[in-house]
Amino acid sequence: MDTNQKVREQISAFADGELDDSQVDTILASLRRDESHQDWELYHRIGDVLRSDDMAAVSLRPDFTARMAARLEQEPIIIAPVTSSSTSKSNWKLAGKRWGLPGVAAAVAIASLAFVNMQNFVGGTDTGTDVSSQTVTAQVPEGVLLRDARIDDYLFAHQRFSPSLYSTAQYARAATFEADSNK
Amino acid sequence: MLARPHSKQIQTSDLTMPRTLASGFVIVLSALIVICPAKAQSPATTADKQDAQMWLKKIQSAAQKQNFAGTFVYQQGTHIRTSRIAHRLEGKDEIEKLEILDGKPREYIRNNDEIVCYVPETKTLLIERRGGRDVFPALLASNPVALTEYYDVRKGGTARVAGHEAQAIILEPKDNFRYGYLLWADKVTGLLLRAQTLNEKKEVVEQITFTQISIGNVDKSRVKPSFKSTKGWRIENATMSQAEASGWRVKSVPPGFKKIREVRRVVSDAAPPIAVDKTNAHVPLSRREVLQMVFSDGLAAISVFVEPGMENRKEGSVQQGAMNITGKRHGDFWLTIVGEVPYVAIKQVANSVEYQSR
Repeated sequence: MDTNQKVREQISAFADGELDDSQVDTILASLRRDESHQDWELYHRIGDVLRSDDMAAVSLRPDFTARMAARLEQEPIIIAPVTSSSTSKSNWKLAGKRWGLPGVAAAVAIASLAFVNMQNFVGGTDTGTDVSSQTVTAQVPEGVLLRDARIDDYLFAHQRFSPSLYSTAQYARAATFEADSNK
Repeated sequence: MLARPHSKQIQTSDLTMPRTLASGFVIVLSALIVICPAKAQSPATTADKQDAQMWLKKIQSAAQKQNFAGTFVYQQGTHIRTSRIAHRLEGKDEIEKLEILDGKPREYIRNNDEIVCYVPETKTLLIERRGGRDVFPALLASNPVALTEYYDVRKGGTARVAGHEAQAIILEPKDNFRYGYLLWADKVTGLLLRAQTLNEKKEVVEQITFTQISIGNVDKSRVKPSFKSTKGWRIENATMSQAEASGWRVKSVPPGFKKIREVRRVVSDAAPPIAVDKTNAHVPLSRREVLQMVFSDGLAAISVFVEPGMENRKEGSVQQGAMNITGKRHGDFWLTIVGEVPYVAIKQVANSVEYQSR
């Protein structure tokens, strides 16, 4: 069997969350090879499009795949109310997407639930124990709490640039957002 | 004779003057100091403030110039983490090793501004270039004198911290857009041994402290990686370039906060599940581009994240230790504002985000 073909199938399966744990490590390693990375992105694009209701009425051109692949090579679109293409200078390489790892769904769910109830807020997701001492009550007038487990991502990204006195203890998290599979 | 309640600031005069004879005088003195903070300052207090500023400079330089090794604990809200650090000055170069002692092993070797992160379980080296020497136990990249515009900087008492005699420095915010800080610096070297963030109610919401530290004489081996060989490890570069001005801006940034960064990144994540699925069903990944603007007053920072609003997100706020986080909709976009500042500052930023096409 063609190895590339096999890898491609595995990537596709991984994108759909169908691999089991033992296969995940192998696939993460292969994902780090550039071409596999492109496949990864492509599968997600395709998946998004297929799942999107908006696209239901749109028929894909024959060279869609090629064009999409080419498009993926370009920089992302600038965020603005008026869409304009612009070269974004950011070039983070995302590999080892921990959010996609099997089993993380449970962790993410737990984090979401924890947010709903501030009393049990489980702060750090990667290391350390949580001291269940009294949490400082928030002076937050509007009561609705965020249920978003992406909070940690924002915190990481913020702490990366904050000149906070505590950055030494915090940037450890920011810098490992890619590789840290603890979540 | 009835004594009036003391003003909030504790003046040394209150403590030393005998009450019976001089209560009247004490009251007048306190009142003077409260009403005319600048003008009625005695020469001793001004010198005291300059001394406090000098301590900040000393703290900054000690982190770069001292050799030290120790263990410290960081606490933010209910989260706590221990780490080990060793710092050596080799000629003009700073070498620093940081190990996270809780959870999965992580190690960071810093060579001036370049940091290599060792991730043993995936055999990865993550290389990152970091601007500014503004991490504990360093103080901040900004000018301590500039800080005094927004913080009242003064000396506190002395205390024994992590086995060393330490000088307390108080940074009291001059408005309610920022928190206060208590710092303890080693009396001999100026090295920062402990820092605490205090909220409006003077409660400690965040802190970092050495539990054990030895200053001077750090062996070379203590700043070397723990791994015998990293041959065959994967190397990744986590670089992010400054984004060109996006057109997004914050109209009413709290006083003293200046934009220090604007970056754009592409993020992948799993859509948050509604309930815990027993089969751990995998959810599809989605990608989005997020703009981040960072504003800082030198000590604290506020990040504004802008991204296309896609699915149903609930507006609201949450607090974790010193961090306040707010999410809100802005037209077709979703804003997330994060900062180690009081909620009132976050709210002001959140309500004044706007886009100006050029």
